Amino acid sequence: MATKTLDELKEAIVELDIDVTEELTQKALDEGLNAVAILNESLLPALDEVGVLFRDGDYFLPDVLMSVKAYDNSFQLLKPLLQEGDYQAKGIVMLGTVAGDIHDIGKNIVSALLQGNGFDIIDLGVDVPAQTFLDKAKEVNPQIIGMSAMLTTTMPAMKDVIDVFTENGVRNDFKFIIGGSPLNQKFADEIGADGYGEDAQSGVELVKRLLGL
Amino acid sequence: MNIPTYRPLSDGDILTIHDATLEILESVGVKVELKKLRDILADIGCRVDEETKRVSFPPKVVTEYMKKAPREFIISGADPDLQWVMNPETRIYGGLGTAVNMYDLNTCDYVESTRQHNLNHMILLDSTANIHTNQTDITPTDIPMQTVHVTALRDWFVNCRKSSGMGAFGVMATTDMMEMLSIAVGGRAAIQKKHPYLVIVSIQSPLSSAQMQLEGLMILAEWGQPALLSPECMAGTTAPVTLAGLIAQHNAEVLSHVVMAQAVNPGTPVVYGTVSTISEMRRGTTALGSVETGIISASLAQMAHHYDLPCRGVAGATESKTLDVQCGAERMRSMMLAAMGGVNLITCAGTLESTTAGAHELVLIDDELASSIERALSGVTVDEAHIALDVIRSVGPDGNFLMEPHTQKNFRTEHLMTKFSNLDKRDIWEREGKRDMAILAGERAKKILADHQPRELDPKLVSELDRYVETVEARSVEDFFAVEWVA
Repeated sequence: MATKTLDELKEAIVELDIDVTEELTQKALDEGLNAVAILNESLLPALDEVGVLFRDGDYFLPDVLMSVKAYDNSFQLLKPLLQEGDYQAKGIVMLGTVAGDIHDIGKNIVSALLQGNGFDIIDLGVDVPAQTFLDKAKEVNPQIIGMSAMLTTTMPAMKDVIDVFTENGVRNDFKFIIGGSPLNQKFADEIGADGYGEDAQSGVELVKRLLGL
Repeated sequence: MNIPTYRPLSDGDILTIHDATLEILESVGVKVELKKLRDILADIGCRVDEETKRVSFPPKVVTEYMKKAPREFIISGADPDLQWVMNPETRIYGGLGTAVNMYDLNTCDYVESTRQHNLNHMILLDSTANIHTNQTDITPTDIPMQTVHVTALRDWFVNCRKSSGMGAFGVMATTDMMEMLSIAVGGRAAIQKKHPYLVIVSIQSPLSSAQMQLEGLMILAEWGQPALLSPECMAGTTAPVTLAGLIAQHNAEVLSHVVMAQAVNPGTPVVYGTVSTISEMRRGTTALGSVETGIISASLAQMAHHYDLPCRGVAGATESKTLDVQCGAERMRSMMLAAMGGVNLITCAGTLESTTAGAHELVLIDDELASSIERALSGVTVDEAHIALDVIRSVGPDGNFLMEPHTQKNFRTEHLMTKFSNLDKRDIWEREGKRDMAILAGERAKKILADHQPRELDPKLVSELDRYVETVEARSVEDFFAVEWVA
């Protein structure tokens, strides 16, 4: 019976049945399943399945974003019960739209997709000064720092961010990736970024590649 | 005659959307980044929340201030002898893009766009029969960013006869454009009645604004110049995924800015603009080539006309990266829907890749597509001369009309004379090098550019324009940011 609940929970997340995921999670806990088991046997496989559906063109961004929401509803119930070491995020990714720019849809899509792929996200928001990127990076220690810009006029701010890390002698402690419609690989190379994502899904692949996952 | 035949919204739908718009304007409001404009809106009866910068527009204020927008204004060319009326019955076509890359006409390489590309593009637009204006469609990436507007204006004025325009990039750029136009056409008073420049004010969806654009809007209003108020809502990301929701939100965005323009200077000419489209749900990016773009442009034309305002709509846009079937199909589809939908200024000729790239061939191809639309919408003339009973009688069964004087007399006006559709038999087509539409248009474009001469102007006038450009060139990019980025 317990296994049945695990299957139902997994299916609910894949089917984007957001209303029942909390209920089923609680049911699984009440049936005596521990949080790690629920996480590993329902939640994470569900996200993998959604990933395949997206890759195959059956699921689109709104579906993926909804699945992440369903996952998160469930995860919030499990979090307080998880022991140290039960759950390891694949990595920490810090994201921000650079100074002078307030566009963030792309960044938010990448954030959701990365969460769906098991990464912890620190989102600095928009119009983020270079100094803030540095201060926050020292605080949270992300493996990857992702910068977003939508305007040709704010692209140069990306170089400012990398420069401020270099000036403080910490550039090589982090990997920098960039994304946004006016960008391209050439610009990424010019500013010394570690990678460039042509779209949100490419950004996710890039993060995995840079971390050897 | 411009009687829209493609009407996605019923009369009832228009009223329903209008009501929804008023509800949005009052209960959700619009974020107005510029303090001095918030103060003006407060003075005319809007409710302002200084903390969130949200302005709530009561229906009474909306209705009162919408009435102040004129239904008509005159667009003039750089050559003052050229002019067009812009009102809800107009149908003209224009270039418009934010191209930063170009398919080079000679090498066919995909390169960063330059000042010369922009100039050549404007020269080609100027040469066409159906395209009346451009919007500095190709960004010169080879000159300092803060000099683009004045350089483009100068190049246009020296070389082109038709009208032009550009985006309102803040205080300096908009003021510079106004000052240079005054120099070019002989004083501030000269641009009051006939407007050679249409300036786009981009509106930020959902329900917001950018400081630079509002600064530009205020300057345009103060100068009495037309403002093209253009949101680019994307269904599913910056607007509801359902088209009716996008239309209602878009409508609120435009109306709020019409009210702003009229509050600053009652009687400011405005064009109800749209670049709205869908967000393609696989990537979340724009799909200007989608069929929905045409549906949206036509629907918003209906909304604009409900307020008795002229409408500008995006058309001719495509996500294609090349001059292929997708490019042709998508641009024709949206142009036709916009034209049949009654859009008054149909823009984006000459661009591809979501208007981020330009191709000179497309200017001429779009001109030909526009001419085919004009032919389609002109319909069939039915009268004695056109039914031509006498000719039918005289030719009789098994006869041939080709030799008839009636044929020679009427073929040029009855049939569209196309230049770029290849109509040859296969063997001739092969012998002549298998030239397709893009190649034919490209050959013609090269000839037009080779034969082009700048306008004959008073050298003193040209020097004065050049001096103004030099003043702007002497400013640093830091000067630009210091003025525009201050809240």
